[in-house]
Amino acid sequence: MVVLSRGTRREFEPVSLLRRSGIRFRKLTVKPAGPLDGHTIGAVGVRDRYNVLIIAAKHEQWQVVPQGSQTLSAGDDLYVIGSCDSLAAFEEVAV
Amino acid sequence: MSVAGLSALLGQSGVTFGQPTTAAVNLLVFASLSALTAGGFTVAYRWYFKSLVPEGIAILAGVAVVVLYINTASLGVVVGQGSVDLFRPGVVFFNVVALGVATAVAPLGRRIGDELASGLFSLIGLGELDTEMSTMVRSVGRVTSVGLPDEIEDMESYDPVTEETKAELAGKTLVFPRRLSVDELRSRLVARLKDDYSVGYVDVDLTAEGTVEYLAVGSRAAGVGATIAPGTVAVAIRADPPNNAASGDQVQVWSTGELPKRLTSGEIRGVAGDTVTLAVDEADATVLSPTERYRLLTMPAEPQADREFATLLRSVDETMGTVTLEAGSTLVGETAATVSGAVLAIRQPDGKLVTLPERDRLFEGGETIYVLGRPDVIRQLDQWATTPLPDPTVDETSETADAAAQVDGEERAGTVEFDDLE
Repeated sequence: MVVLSRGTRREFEPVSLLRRSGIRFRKLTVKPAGPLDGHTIGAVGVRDRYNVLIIAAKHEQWQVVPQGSQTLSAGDDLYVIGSCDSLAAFEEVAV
Repeated sequence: MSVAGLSALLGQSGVTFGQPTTAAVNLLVFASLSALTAGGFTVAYRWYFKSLVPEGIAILAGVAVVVLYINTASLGVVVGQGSVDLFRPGVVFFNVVALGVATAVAPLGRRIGDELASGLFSLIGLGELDTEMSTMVRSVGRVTSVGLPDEIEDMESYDPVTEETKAELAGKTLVFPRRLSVDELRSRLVARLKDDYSVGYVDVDLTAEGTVEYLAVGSRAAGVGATIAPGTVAVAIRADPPNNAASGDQVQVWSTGELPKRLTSGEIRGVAGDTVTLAVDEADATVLSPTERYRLLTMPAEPQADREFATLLRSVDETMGTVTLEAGSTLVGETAATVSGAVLAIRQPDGKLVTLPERDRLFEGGETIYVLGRPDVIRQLDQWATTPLPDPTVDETSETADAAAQVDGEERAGTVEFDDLE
């Protein structure tokens, strides 16, 4: 028995498109006492400072496209996208 | 009978039927006290809860006042004269009759109170009259009523819900607490639809007045088919999975012949005994036979965050969409900051793809933008992308973008939300 993929899959197309053009996805966890812990996404300026984009954050449940006013705390899971270099830099300092 | 005489009659505590006048006056006062309290309580209840008070509660209120009165009068006597006549059989009998009268009269008070309240509140617009006018008033008053449209659409790319569910939802009015911002009302409405009607996904356009302009629903994704990427398929094989192998593990599939041969690689989607469900490439599915046994080689964890994220997207309201801008449309000249979703990429008319564009980059005609956001946001963008610019005043939206980011949602309903996406 073979189960085929179902639905029109709008999600997978842009994801693979981004991957082909050098944007990487990474799942990260906010570390305690890091620059993100206890701050809002907007206050840290994640986008401007690290050139990566937090596309989903899990505090109690997943929040896709979190707003700048969302507070991050240690242990929160994040999906972050950006170029390889930006992600590596972000990963080094922030999580 | 003078007022002084009446108060003297009422002040007594040890009333018995031995004094018929006093007894009659007291019973009359108790009856009206009970009816009045029950009535007043009914009016207050209807004002606050918008429904008729249950009979038992009205009776309880009416009787409680009489009990309180009798108690207090007796207590006064105990303090003043040091004697307790509450337990004399005649007094006990009278008090029991008094409570009986109070119980009998309270429902009457309740009915009168309700008549009064209904007439009064519908006069000043707080009633439950299902007219257009009343709905408007209610949305700024004590409760917010949200009327669902008669036409309920299907959500593109999600499985449709049953016709019965749609018929149940069509034209229904849901009532929510007052003083909700549009965003709160939206999330409550979505949660209500999901909890009470077993709807998986909701796409709704809600105006500032709490009117639903568009409603589309989809059913919850079930089964493995919805979570595997295009080009891959799920197959079940007999194998020897490591005892802690779980969904998401990358494995190589080897044959078990004399010379083990690597057949394919895939991702474990489920393990039951020695039956393993694997997601493998479509082309490799034919290599695997359901009767053969295979060996599995678990690979080191390979970060597959993109696949994981795409799967996560299936379980939340947000989705990915593309919007192509027509030349001269409302969106041309706007920036990514005005979009309340995340602009992940822009495909320029020459075919070049700009990923993670700067937030102050202006959209141009002919570009296709890839947006991650709620379906209604994407639909709204799509509408703007095809609507010609009416007049130049739209420019002010981009200037207020940053200020509006902190503002609570009242006035941003139906328009773009200017939340800064970091």
